[in-house]
Amino acid sequence: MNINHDQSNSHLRVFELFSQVVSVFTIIVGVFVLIGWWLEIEMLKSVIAGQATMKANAALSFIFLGLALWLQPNSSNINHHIKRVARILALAAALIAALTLIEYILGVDLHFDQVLFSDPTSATSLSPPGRMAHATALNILLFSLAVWLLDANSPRQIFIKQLLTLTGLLIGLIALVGYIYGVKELYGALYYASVSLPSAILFVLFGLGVLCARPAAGVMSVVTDTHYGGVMMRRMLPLVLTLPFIIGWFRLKGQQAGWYGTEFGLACFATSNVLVFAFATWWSARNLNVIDRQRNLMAQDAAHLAAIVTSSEDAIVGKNLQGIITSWNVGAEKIFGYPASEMIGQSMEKLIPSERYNEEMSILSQVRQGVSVLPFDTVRICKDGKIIDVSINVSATKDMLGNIIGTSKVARDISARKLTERALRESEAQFHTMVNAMPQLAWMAEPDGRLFWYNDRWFEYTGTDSAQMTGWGWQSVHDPEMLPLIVENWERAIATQEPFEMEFPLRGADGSYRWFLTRAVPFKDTEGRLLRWFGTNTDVSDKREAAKIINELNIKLEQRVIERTAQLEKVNVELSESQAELSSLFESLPGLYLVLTCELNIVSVSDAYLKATMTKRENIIGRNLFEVFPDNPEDQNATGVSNLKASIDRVIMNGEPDTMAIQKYDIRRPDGVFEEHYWSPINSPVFSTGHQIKYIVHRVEDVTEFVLQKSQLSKGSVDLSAQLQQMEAEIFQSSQKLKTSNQQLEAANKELEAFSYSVSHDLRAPLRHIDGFIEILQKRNENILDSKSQEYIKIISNAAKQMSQLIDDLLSFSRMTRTELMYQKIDINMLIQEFIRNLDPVTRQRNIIWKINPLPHVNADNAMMRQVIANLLSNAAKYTRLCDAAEIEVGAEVLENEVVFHVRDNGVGFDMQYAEKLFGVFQRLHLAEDFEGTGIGLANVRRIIARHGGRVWAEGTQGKGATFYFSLPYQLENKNE
Amino acid sequence: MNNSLKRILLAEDSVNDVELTLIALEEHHLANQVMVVRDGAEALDYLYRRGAYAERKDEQPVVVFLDIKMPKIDGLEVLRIMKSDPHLQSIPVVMITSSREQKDLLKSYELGTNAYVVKPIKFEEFVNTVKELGLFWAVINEPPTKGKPNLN
Repeated sequence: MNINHDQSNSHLRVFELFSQVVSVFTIIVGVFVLIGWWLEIEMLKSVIAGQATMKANAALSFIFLGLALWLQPNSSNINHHIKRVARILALAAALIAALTLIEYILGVDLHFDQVLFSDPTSATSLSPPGRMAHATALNILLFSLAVWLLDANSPRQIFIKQLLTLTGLLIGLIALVGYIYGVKELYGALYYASVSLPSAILFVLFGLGVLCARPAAGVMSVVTDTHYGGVMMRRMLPLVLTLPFIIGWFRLKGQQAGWYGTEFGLACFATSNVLVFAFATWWSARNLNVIDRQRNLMAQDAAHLAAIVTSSEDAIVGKNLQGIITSWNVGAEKIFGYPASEMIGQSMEKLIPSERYNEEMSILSQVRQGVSVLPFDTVRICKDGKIIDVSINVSATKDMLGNIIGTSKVARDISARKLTERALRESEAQFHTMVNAMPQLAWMAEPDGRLFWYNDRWFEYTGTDSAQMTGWGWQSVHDPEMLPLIVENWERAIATQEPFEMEFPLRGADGSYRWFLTRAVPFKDTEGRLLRWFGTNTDVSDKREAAKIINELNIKLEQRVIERTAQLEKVNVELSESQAELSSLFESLPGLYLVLTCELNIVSVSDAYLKATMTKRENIIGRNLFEVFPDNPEDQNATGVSNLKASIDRVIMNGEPDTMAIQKYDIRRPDGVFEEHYWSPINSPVFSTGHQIKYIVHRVEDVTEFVLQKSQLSKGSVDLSAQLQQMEAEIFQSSQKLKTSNQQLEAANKELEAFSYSVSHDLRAPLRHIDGFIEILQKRNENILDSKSQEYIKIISNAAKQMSQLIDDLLSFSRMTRTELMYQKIDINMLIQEFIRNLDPVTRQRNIIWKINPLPHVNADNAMMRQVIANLLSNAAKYTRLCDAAEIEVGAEVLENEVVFHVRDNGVGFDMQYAEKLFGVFQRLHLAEDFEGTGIGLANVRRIIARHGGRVWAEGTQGKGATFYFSLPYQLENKNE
Repeated sequence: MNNSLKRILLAEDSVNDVELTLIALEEHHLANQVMVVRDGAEALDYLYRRGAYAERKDEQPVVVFLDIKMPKIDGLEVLRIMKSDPHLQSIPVVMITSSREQKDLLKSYELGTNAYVVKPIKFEEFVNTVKELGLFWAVINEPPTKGKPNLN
């Protein structure tokens, strides 16, 4: 049924509108009839002249009825007072009709028939003049009561109202048919008066109007029903109501015209009616069949839909607008785990994670507002607590009339899909990360060889973008000379679907080519169909370069191996020669030497030892010491072997030489007799490179003679030792003195350091204060101070600055004595050039002739020598300031043990009598006004030169210039350079 | 220049230097934000809110100017203590001294000073230096420790 709410309403409103139109029409007709009476216009009273007229009272009653109906449209909110007015109007009409009926029934004249207008024309009629017909009066009474009962509620009252209406309608219809068919009896019933034509028409219309005024009540409900019965009714009723009359009218007119007799006419009439109604019935039946068939189909559809819903794998959930679940299919149970019994009547709340409540609320509100909701993905909680991904499709459910009554929600478990998607995304991300992370350039190509994808490295290296590279664009970054071969190989690979491998250069973003090893492998599906090519370009430039270098290196290495082998061979020869030399050298040593292994086997022996012990080399080499030299078996007190063993053990244990006491050790002569001998042996370890004792050198001195004479010598040696002791004491005393004075010197140095630090900080502070405050003073009183005062202030300020300069100089002077000298080779020429280069602009513009003779290099402290040169040269420049043609000459003379430098100028010079004062601290020979300076420069020069072990002196004549000399010690090696 | 909360701590024993510094800062209306202490011990009392400054409630200074040579505790020691204390080490410290000794400069940077300024004898230079420092630390530079270490 496709009747929606609006259509249904408009359908009812058509009836109501009809009712309203009828009521207005009734009022208009009534008014026109009254006008007709007033102006004596017959047309208006009776429509057809000579026929019965509508009486003024009837017209008035119709006006009342029309108003009463018009004031009560079918609406719930009619004003209470209006309703009352309408009912009073209905009662007024009823009163008129009732009084008229009483007149007829009791045969009295209540004299109100002509109250409005006199009625001279109706004298012919059976009823008294001006009185409406009795049928009219009755009908008006019926309608009045029906209108009065218009909004009755109880079924009985509705029944009465409609019975009254239908009766009135029937009476009106009979009168109307009478007029149409010309049957006087029908409208002039009961002989007394006739119902006028306008009245008859109004009765029919008004009756219908009253019925339509409340179209949903009583019998009308069948007519207005939206079901097909109502539709049928509305289609058939006009036919049923009008056709018989129309057919009858034609039959009557034909008969009156004499075309046929009564029988034939009746036969025609009956046949026509049968035909028409048979057709109408057939038509209705056909419609009903169609409808029934549709309904059956719909029932099937519904069953089908229900089956679909039930068997769907998706969860299909119906909800009302409050979000309460009204249906829950098997799919929902499968997905969420809750059976329908647990969910119907509940809200969705427990399925929705708390953070997604808003989502649900917004969907509900969208549905309520009739906005369609797009499908969306979200998550839901199952009964077992598992959270699943679902895709949800929400649509509004509507009733027959199109009202939104809830939502239907289709939810699909997409966990698996999400998982696959995620896995796919991850693997894609992995792939991209991997191909972009790898150092190679990478790309993919279609089976036909067109490249369609490159990794970031490709674009970074080539400096291209994907638009340039797609398809065969890669050719643009290739060496044009190589390209034909590459294309040929690549096309062959494509044709054979075999892997491609080739080394060729690719042009980088900077335009230079690098060599790449390019590999492409065909990627095939399980059925062996080629899907794409996967290619990489590996930068092998460095490798190629390295290979080249390695090759060169190899050649060089080989050459060097050959050279080195030759060298080694030569060295070997030399070594063996020198070994032999060394060996013979050792053997010819004048001392008595024996070289032993740690096991005391004899390795080497000097000729002198052989001679002293009366042995031969070949007899003792390789043999054990004690085997060769045993104790004298005849001497019971012999301890030689055991003492020597103990000494050698000490050497091995301590790793230090061990001097033995004089040892009696008899020598066995070749003839076997032992000869008495005394020895002074010393055993020394010889270490290998691993600090292991390798050999022991056993050196002895034959002191036999000395031992035999020693008793005579003992007295003289006492004097000697006394002398020695006295000397030692003296040495000790003087070393103690030295130590003390060293400590004093150190303390003085420290004190000096502390003093100069304190000077640096404390002497400077008051100066800064003087300068600072004098400046503030000047600033604040600039306008008050006269020029003299201003000058004084300037003098104070300058004095402070000068004092500060003095402190700085003094500090640098003191620092000079403390700083350690850093000897290095210095080119004095360079220092002089540097000084001249950095001259201040004023001096540079002066006319100075620099004569710099070649100077030797010296070994000295660079920073200090720079200061010496700077002091001497700036002095020379300063004191030649008054000369027109200043001349400064630097030279050096190399003497036996020293080199003497001199700086000569033709400036103001000095009196030789003060020559020594020149080098004193703060000593000056000139006024500060004439030549600026603090008098520290030459003092510094003297200090520095003195510290280098040299001398400083000066020669000069007043007004004729001065020469400053300094000397530095000059070593032999300096002269060679 | 609405920096009533930003403060400069000046540790200086010489009353003349204090005066000169304040005059210099006055040029940029920063003098009323300067807290003057007369020796290293007082500077530490101020920073640690103890002794005479136990009741101090305001924030830590945005910059500390330290003279090196001061009675009781010298500037280098104050610097050492500040830079080894996690609560104070983020406060910028400027050593202002008349010492030109290399070892003082090296020692200061070794201990982590943020700047080292030799007081120029020339007053104009001194004004400029202090002005720049004052402006830089107290106005231009946002203090990194704003509202941070509350030692109470």
